[in-house]
Amino acid sequence: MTKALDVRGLTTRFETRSGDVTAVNNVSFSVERGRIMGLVGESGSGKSVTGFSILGLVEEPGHISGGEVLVEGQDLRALKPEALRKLRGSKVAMVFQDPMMTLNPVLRIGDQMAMAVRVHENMSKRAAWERAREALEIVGIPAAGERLKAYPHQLSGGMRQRVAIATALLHRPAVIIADEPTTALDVSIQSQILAEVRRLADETGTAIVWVTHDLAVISSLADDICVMYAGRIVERGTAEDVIAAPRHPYTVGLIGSVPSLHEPGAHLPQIPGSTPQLANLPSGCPFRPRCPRASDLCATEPPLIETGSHSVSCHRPMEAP
Amino acid sequence: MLGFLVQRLLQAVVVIFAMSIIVFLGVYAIGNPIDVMIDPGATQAIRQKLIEQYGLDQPLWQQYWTFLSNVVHGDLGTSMVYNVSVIKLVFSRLPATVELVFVAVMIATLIGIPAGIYAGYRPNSLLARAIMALSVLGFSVPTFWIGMLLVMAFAVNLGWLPSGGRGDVSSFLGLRTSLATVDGWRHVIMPAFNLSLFMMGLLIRLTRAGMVEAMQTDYVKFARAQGLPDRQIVFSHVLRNISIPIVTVFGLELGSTLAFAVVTESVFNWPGIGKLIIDSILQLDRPVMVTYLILVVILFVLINLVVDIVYAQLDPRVRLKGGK
Amino acid sequence: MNQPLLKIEGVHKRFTRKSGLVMQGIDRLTGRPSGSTVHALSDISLSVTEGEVLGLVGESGCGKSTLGRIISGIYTPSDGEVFLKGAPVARKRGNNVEKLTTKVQMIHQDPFASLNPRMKVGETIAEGPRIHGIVKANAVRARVRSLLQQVGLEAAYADRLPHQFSGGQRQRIAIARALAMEPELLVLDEAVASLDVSIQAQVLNLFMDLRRELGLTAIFISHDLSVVRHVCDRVAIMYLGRIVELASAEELYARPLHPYTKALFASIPKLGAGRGSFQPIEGRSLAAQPAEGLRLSSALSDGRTEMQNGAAAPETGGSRQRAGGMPPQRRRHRRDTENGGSMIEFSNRIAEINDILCAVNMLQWDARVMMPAGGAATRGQQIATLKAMARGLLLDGATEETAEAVLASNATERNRRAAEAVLSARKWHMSVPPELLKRQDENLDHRRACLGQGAGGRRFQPVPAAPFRNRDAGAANGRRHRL
Repeated sequence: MTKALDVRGLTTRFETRSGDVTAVNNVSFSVERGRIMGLVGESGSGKSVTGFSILGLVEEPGHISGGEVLVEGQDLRALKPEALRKLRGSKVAMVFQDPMMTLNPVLRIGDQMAMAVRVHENMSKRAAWERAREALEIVGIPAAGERLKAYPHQLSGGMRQRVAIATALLHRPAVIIADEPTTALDVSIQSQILAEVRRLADETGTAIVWVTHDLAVISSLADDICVMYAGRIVERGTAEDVIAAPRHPYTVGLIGSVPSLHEPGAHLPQIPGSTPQLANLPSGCPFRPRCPRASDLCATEPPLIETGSHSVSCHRPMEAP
Repeated sequence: MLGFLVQRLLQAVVVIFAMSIIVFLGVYAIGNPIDVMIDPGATQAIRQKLIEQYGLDQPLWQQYWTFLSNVVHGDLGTSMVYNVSVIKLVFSRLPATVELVFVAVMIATLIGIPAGIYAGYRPNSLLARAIMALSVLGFSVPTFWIGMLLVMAFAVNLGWLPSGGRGDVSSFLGLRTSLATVDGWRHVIMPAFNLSLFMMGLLIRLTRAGMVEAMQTDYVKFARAQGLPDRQIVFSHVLRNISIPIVTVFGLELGSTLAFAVVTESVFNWPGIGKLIIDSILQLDRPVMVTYLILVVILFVLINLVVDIVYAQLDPRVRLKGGK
Repeated sequence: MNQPLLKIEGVHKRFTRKSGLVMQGIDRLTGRPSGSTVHALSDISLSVTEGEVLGLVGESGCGKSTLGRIISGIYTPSDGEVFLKGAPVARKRGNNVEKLTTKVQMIHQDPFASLNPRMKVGETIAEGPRIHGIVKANAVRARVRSLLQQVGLEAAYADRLPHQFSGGQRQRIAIARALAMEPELLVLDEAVASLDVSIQAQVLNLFMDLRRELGLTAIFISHDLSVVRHVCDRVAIMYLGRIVELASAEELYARPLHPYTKALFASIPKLGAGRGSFQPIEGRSLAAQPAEGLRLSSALSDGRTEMQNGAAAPETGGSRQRAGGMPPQRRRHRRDTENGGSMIEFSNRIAEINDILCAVNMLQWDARVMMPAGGAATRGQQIATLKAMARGLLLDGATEETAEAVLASNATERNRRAAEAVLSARKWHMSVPPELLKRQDENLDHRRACLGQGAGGRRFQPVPAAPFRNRDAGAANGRRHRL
């Protein structure tokens, strides 16, 4: 069976005045139908750019310089811009972080959604509204017909994010890229959205790439996890494996910094230093300067070590359990 | 909405009343019109008679009171120079100015906004840079100087267009306007273009700034992620958002273009209200000055009201709030 | 026992939006109240002893930041007093707030916005102490250097500009700036919220180290319960402008009592708890229900029965400080909600309050547009329904009758829905702890203001909170708050 999303060697570069920056460096992963892949990383790790690169929406001065993005076997990178545009929204959709900003404040919800319907399917305005109403019901919005006539500011934050998710679902895409969609929401709303998203993935078979910095969220939602650091995927595996038995020192440090795993008041194990500047990365493993296990060997490109479905890009990974 | 209108109209009355006092005081401070009007050789008796005739011997507050009570009866006074009703005088000149301003604003909008949209959509293109450079000229080079250059080029050297004045007037839909004749257009196009430059430059810059900002927003990215073509994104999503500041500036500029068409009218010898007010200031024709200034105030109040209403139509987050 | 360093007594904070000058005049002439009021904080009392770190936790709009600003003397309370070592921290003079003490220092969330980009960080740190004469002019430089070292930065960084630092380093600078004033009390408002996880751990460690070294007293405001648990001695949970629960961190996390606290805990995703651990909705996925009608209402009335099916749990007494008194009925409900399933229901309901308010907001808006073309119901009935909807949330006694009247009349579908919403909202209200409800009543305006954002509260004339009329409760609840 073809995978819903298969990313192979994706590389995105930004040409800035201070030199070229590789924001996404040879990233490969795949997501099967109905599964949720968590893309975890800190700011500047390239996780959001990866999301945008999949849709071919990298903005100047950035450009995708290599790799393949296969959606249900079709390579998006080989398509002409116009053909790619037609796949956006219909086969691959995206949801953003801030629900206050992703909906146009001066247009009715229904008009915005109908626009998204009609761009891919030739139908009357009335039919498009009806489709939008159905989509709102799928994501659990009560009185959907009424909500369509509302303007975004008349809805609560959680409701707005549901509208965004419903918009992404309009054409039953094979893949949805969700870029930190619950970060701006309160926890009680977040838990609702997470439950809803899990159910959608299970019921509709849509594959979801969930980009986030929040390990706790992702460990309770995702099937698989990719950990990104400085534009690369450093560790990849099932959620259980990565959280319970992390192998890359960075993942270990990241999980260790979460306060809830420690006695209150205890000194938190911290990763020294700060997130690296992409413009001047060290040779070899980019995590080398902050890594407690680093040796001279680490100045060379780290190998990809795979044990089953769990892979890690490191010279000196933690022992597999 | 009704509450809002009532509230705003009440405010307008207060503003106009306050302005009338300021205008009255200001005009009084400029000088005594009798000194300008009268033959220097006239006797003291004639002078005194005239002063009494115009009521200038009365204390200022009484003059103001007389003025106010006349206004209530619909009489804004009689011009001291032309000796005709001020209202008649002003309204005989007003159509020419409105005509000029209308054409100027149309030119500014039809060129300025599309140019701004383009410059904002492709901010790095050569054409966009050229547009931006020209827009700076638009509002930094003095209008009268550009006006004179235009006259030199198109009227004197090329001889394509008349150098000044208003063209033939004809009736169109019951309005007597020079815009109904070819000759009228030949006369109006150059001064209108000149008058439009400042507003055009402003609109270009404002539209561009709005576009650049809007194209970075999440809702545009979200629309792109849904596969909407850029054309649709610009016209359905962005334009309505950026039109909100544009409407504000448009309103303000409309007012100032009308009020300050004076310079252009002088350069092109356009028989509008601007020339009338210049003349009346030189001759200290008090009733004309007062009427004109109050007219301008009313104009600004009205434009602001319209802008606020348009605002609410454009942006659902803005609600016009009255008392209840 | 130490004497309390900070003492807050009965603090209320109301924000009033003024109407225009002309309207103010008209309002004055007709004797109408002018402007509209938002209740951000109601009746907050607490104290902090020296050397203690108190956490303020809650979701957006709960008033935790407002309280932080009142403590720092940036706002003055509308009622009540804030004392630092017995002296008030701020006082109001005309339209200005005069800050009386420099002994409370605040650290803000955004390290990119809180430092002047054109000022060297050394100057930024030195500015306060120099102006207030805390450090002698010739000792300033040395002081800055030692402060920078104290927060884990190199002393030579004093000559750099903020843009040369990362987010975590900037937050260290902000801490150094606050410490430079030698404060008695630090107020950290979401100070680690915008930092990456690994950097957050560094700053938390720094904070805990400084606390040990300097014996800092602090108010730690955050939405992140795990961070708060880690650094705080005591924690206050805030909801809709009130403190609903206040206890030692250990006690609170082990045995939360208030339904809101429990709901909040239930909805936090926990690392390593496994997939679907948040799964909040049991047997009632909103989407699984039939499409038509106001699902909201049915969902609410369903929830009610479940709420009351909860098993009784033993009373957990102890030295816990609770908000307000505890009427008998409340205690019953608390036991009801001890049951986990109901707890999760409750978490959904909190989100639904939001949704109901939106529905009210929207129906009102739509109806206003469609009013002239109204169906069978008269214009008067439509308006009554809408008012009733609003009041349904405020527990006005007249509500039910109005709604029933509309239902009985040959109403349009829209009106029927509105009426149903009122009825179900009322039913729902009967099933939650009255203390909590009261809080919602008082803060409805506030919530609405948050929802309406730019729209302003005026559009929907706030319905004054009717005296709390819960018929079957009969709880002699002394305190009443009026809008």
